[in-house]
Amino acid sequence: MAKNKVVLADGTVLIDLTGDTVTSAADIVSGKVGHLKDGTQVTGTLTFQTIYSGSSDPSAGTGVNGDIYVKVVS
Amino acid sequence: MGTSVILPTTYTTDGSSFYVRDPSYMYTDISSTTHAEISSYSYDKKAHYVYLKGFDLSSAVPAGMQVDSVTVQANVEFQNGLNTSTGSYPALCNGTTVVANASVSGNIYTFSGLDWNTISGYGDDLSIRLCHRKKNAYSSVALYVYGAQVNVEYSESGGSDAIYIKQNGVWTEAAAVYKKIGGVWTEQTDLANVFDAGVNYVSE
Repeated sequence: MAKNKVVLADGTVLIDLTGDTVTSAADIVSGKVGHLKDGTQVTGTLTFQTIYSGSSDPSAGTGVNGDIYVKVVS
Repeated sequence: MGTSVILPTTYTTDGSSFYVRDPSYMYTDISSTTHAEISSYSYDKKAHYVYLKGFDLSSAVPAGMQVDSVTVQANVEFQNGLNTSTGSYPALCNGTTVVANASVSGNIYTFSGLDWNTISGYGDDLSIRLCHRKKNAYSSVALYVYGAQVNVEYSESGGSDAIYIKQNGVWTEAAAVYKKIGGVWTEQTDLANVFDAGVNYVSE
């Protein structure tokens, strides 16, 4: 069972995740391993699309599917 | 989609001596059944011109709309005794310069294929030239003018959406926006739906 708070016998708080704000794998970047506030270890699923910009047309080698390219006239 | 109909409000002449009876009847649309009468006092068979004008185009297109087409029409009846050759047809003018010739159906003369920016750019100089030319000198004959109008058809502008990017502290409108789809950068025209819901975007 996952643990999110460990308190020693003398009352010392060794670790406390209860105040964290990570509540799902989507809160952690994709591929990174972390813990939810309840102590459960998860692998992150949060992904990003990139917004590129430039004054010329985008090159074929730039970006991945779903990315945006904003062309501006300089 | 909508249409504005703009009517003439005045007329000028080429300096010839005219008699214009009931001129207000020229300032109606082409469906009117009443007419002004234009007669020339000149004792010759030359062409004498009256310019129907005063079309206020400034408010013809509501904000946010784009012009799809513009036509100009006149309802003119040549009485017997007037020259009715094509050279005597009403002509669209910028000042006194003819810029378009009409097609005719009955008494309706229509100028079509016009460019809105050009026509509206004429401003107060936009006019319909009406030609009064007698077949025989000394005859007394009138040109009947039932009305004239500028028709402006407009629709919502498709280019109202825009995407801006802040560069060096200045917001600049995008000249084009692309999205990579299937490995290919594809230019987007529906700018309101470029960004997918639920997707996080970061700048490069």
